[in-house]
Amino acid sequence: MTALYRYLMTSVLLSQRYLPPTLIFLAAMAVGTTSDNGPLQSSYAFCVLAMLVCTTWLTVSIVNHEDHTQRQITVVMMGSSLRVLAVTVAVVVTWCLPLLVIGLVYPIVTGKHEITPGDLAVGAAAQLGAALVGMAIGLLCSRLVIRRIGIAMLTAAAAILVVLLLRWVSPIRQIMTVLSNDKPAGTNAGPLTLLAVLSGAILLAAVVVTGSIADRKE
Amino acid sequence: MKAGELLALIGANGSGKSTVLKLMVGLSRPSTGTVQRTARVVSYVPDVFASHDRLSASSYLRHLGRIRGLSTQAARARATELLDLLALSGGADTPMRKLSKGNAQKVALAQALLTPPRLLVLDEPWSGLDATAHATLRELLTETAEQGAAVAFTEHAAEVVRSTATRVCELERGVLTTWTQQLSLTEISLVPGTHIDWSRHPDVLEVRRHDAGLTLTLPTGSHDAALLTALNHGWSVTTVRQVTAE
Repeated sequence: MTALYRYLMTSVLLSQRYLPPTLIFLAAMAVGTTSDNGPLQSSYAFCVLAMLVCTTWLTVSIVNHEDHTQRQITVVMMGSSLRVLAVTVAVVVTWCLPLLVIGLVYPIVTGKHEITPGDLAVGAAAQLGAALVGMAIGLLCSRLVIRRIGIAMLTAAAAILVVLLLRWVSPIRQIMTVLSNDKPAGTNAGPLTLLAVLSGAILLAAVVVTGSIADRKE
Repeated sequence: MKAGELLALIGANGSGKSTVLKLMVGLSRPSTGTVQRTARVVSYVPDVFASHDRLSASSYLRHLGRIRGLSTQAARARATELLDLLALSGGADTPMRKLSKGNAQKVALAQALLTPPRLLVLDEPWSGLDATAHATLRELLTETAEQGAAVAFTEHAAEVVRSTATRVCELERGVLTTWTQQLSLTEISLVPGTHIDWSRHPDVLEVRRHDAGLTLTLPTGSHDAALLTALNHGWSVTTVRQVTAE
């Protein structure tokens, strides 16, 4: 598994496919949170939105990176397509971690806020939840599930809108609601952590569904 | 399939050859019935190996060697050995996306042989290969089968199938229509030296005498010893060719 992780990681690193979503995320941070003097939780609400879009994009880019026949070889070598998918998701998580750190630190560095440990916990839990949901959408819109890139892009855009607008489809709307209430960060940290856990469960379900669909499509 | 067997799947386009191969390696699931696979180390060569990867061929093989459980040094050495054997040493450091079809096919073949497989499955492996690599691949497949692997491949060229396979299976719209056991033989034509009674030689199946000398028929793989005996007794070898007996 470690050797497969190293192979996929090196391949993605050389491909530079991670650059566009990362740069867009940085640009969004610069535009949306620089010199913000309001509550830190409001800045993090913007980060959640940017994180959701960029992790979806990043996931699609990384999962689609390996060519179809190249992936077939890897799957036969590993003896299980689910194992390959799990390692691919581990690579995606690795690439999303720097975004999480940037999303957490950038608003603090560039804005003027009073920071408490509760604020950091809120920011981390909220953005982690968004990243996990973004990865789940990215997986389900990857080539493993939707072969045509145009349809995949439209589906991903529609899915992002749906999770932002509808309350009970995913934890995203709930995360945004919690971040925009006026309660202190310490009070919000608990519910946001639970929502992040729920997002993790959604990602797990997406991995299983993607693996199953990819096997059937082969 | 048995260990040591070289099975050729033949049939028209769309007859289901590639599907059978994918079922064998577990890439596809059967709609009905079951596939039993006991081999643990399985290698697969797809019909077209298209890669847009910026990884070089040697780096790609090194990574896959590590996945196969080789140490970094062993993976590097094996990758270099296979690339040399398949005459790709010049392109070893070229990113895979820049490789020609034939050279990409060589990389696909090399990855399948990084460690000795128990089941080797190849979908039209000769496609796009030059003449030298063509012969090398035939030797590699025979060697792999001799090491105890079951080897299955698809191929349209009848000559290649005859000279390589020990068994031929013909498919028509997904249905097995013929199943033929074939034995690969080698004919050696010799000009006599000092006397040898070839009829007593354990590997010789047939001796045919003619004006220029004689021609021996032996099973492919066991003709080396006969050749050595002939040369040691001052015989000259005029031709060596593979034939097939069904």
